[in-house]
Amino acid sequence: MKEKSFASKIWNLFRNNSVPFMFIIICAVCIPISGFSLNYLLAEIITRIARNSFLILSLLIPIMAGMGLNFGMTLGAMAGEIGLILVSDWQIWGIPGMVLAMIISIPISVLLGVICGKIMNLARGREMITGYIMNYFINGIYQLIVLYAMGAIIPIVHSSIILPRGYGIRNTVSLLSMRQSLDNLLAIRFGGIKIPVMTFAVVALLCLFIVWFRKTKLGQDMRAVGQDMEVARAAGIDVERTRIISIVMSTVLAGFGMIIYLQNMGNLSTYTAHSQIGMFCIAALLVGGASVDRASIGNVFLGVTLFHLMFIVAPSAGTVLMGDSMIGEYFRVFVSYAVITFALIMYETKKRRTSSLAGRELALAQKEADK
Amino acid sequence: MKISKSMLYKILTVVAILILAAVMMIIGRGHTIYLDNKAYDAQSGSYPAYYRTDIEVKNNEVQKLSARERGSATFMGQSVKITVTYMETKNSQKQTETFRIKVPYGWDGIIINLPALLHGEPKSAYMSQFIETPVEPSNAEEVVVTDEFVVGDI
Amino acid sequence: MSELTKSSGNPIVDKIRAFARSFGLPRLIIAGFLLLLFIMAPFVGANFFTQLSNTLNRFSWNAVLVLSMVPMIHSGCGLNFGLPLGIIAGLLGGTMAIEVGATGFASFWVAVLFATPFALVLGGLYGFLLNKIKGGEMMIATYVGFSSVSLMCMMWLLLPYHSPNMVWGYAGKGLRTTISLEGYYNGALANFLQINIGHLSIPVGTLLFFALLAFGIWAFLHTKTGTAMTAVGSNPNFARAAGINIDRTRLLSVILSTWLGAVGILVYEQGFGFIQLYMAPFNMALPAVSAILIGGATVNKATITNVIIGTFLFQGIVTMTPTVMNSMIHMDMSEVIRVIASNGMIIYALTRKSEVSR
Repeated sequence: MKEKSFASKIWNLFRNNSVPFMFIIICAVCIPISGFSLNYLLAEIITRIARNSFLILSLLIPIMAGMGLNFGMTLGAMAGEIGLILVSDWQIWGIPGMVLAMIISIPISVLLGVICGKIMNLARGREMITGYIMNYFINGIYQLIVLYAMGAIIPIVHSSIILPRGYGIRNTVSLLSMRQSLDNLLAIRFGGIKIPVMTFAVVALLCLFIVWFRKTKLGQDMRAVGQDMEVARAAGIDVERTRIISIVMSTVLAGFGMIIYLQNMGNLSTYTAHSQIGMFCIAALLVGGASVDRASIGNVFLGVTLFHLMFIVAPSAGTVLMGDSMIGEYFRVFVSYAVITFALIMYETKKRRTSSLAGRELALAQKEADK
Repeated sequence: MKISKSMLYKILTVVAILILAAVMMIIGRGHTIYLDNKAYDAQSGSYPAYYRTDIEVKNNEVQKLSARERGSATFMGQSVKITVTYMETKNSQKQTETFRIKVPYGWDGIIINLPALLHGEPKSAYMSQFIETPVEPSNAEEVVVTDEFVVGDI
Repeated sequence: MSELTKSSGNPIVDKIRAFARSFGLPRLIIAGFLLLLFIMAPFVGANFFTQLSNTLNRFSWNAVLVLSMVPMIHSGCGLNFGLPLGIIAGLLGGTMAIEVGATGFASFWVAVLFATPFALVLGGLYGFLLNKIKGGEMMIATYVGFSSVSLMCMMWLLLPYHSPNMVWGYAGKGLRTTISLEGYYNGALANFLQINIGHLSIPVGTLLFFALLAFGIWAFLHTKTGTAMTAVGSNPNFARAAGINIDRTRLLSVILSTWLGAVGILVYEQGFGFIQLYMAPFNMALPAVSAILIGGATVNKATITNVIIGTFLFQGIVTMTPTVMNSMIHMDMSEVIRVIASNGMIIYALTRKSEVSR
């Protein structure tokens, strides 16, 4: 009897965390095949955790407010990029440059976040697809600004940044002057592996902030809105405003995250850097066992580790197995999309099941009352 | 007009952020300094290049410069400490002098003429702006605008 | 007299206002913009008839893809962001037609024939899935499309294709990213009955094919099954009460949309002259979605007229802006304008209240 319950417990654990388990299996199979040394993998994973965690953490707040996966986080990434372009033209280097880029990104992120939040309030129930299309729309406006206004209206002086024709930013902007300036601050070398202590400290600070924020009045309001909008409204919470604030916070944090991400990369691909970031962050979060309506800080770190492990080993595992590195590249892209698809399907079926269950209970209760 | 407490906090936050931004702009401004060990010639006086100079910028050794050589270093902020150890001729004594030079904010590159600096010439004499030769337009890039969210590495 | 005009004037103004409201401001702006482009074209030295021909040509390539939105919108499945799935069926059909060695005009029909079973199977699975997740169709459709495109990326490398016109020369396996249709169904429809008058050329064959399909869909929507489909989309509760099998009707609409997507990409290819594989189908859904929305469709209502107007406006802007803009301000902002206009249109449509109850 006891054993059975233990087995069912294991089964439940597995069923509730099928995506992380699947990834553990994929990684366990691919790592030996790929032939990478453990040291190399560890170094890569630590770099990638430091690089991506902040961005992924920015997704947590809208999930708390019941707005689903914030596909609009790309908006914040674009704001961060505009900050970085301006800062590198003004020749502000190192950590001061990063801080200044973050400060510049704040008003842009807030503006974009408010617009996005308002539009999502209009498209209630379709927040995710709206946020997703918002990416493309704002990407158009971003290109309008960066490709035509910068240099023509917004002064840009350095010829290393501006296109030879006199307006528009080059395809890549070098961030050499601030490359890994945060990562290298107080960094510890540990058997050939660099541990970027300061970056982890910043990420830890954000984690603490999120934990603290959940307990504040605003955080409680957000959770109430996330649970049930009508109940929250009845309790006197300004639902629309709370939802907009959650998107604004996410956008601002995504902007900061993008700056941390790019200082590690050391250069900025002006027109493509932000394009995939939302998708990969969301996939990583989901791999960590999060769902559309529930995500924790633990999911972020588990997800970023597993997802990037798969990302590193897939191409070389593909080369060994299939004799073609492109197979592995396509495989990891496929897995990223499949994970998101799977999570969305799970969420929608669960939502339908609970709503039909609630409906049945309501009908039952009415029947009872009729008797 | 009475300003509410929360409004006051908001204004203070914005002001604090703006001050932070201003501070960052000052302490984070990057410059490249070019140090020339070249003969200096003007009405006020002309000085030959030194036989040998050792230069430290912000306590980091940059280069050992022989006559007619140029060394460079980068630094952030508005002023820079330069320590020059020099020998006038092959057989003369080593001498060391330290300078703290304030640089103009708008200059990306600054050329310092060492003989003029060491002979106590005014700032306008030993310091000049380094104008970068514009990047030749041969590497004209084609920027392709799309809304295709392509997939690559992260 | 003056009183008469005043009294009769007001209803007209009201009518115009009501029309503008129902038509939607963004749509009016886009239509006005295109009109302006056509007026400007002769002044900047572009030949009006060349421009019109280009627009008509691109219209003929894309119209069927846009048409594939209609069945799913009618049955309440929302905008078909999962169009890449249908495109994949079409690509499979096209490549298989070349593989079996069909050439010329016939290869187009062979391709359609081969694509059909894939479209039916994929559409069936897709429809089955969408029935499980009513209410969240659009987001999941997007990602089903993406997943299937990236899965097919692997498949194009692995599937046992051998035709030397399609595989990489040095490896002898794995399909190329672009495959020329010269000698196969390049222009299969476009060259049929083509009319050339000076600068004006009209691809009558392709337009006829589109008209045929469009008429077929129009007729289908007026059959018993078709009206049932509309009922499911506009009022599912009423439909259920009327004894319509909702899931089956939705499934049918999804299969129909997927098949139209498959045929649509084949029509596109015969005009364009190339098969594009790998990541190419990735973002083909968005232009089609925004085209039908520009044409006046909403998330849950679409007609054949919407398809025709929308495709014409969208492709008109795509073809006209580069030429007119370039010669006017010497800045090629056309791509950026297209991105902003088309995606802005989708956002506008998503924010409209739709009174669908589920």
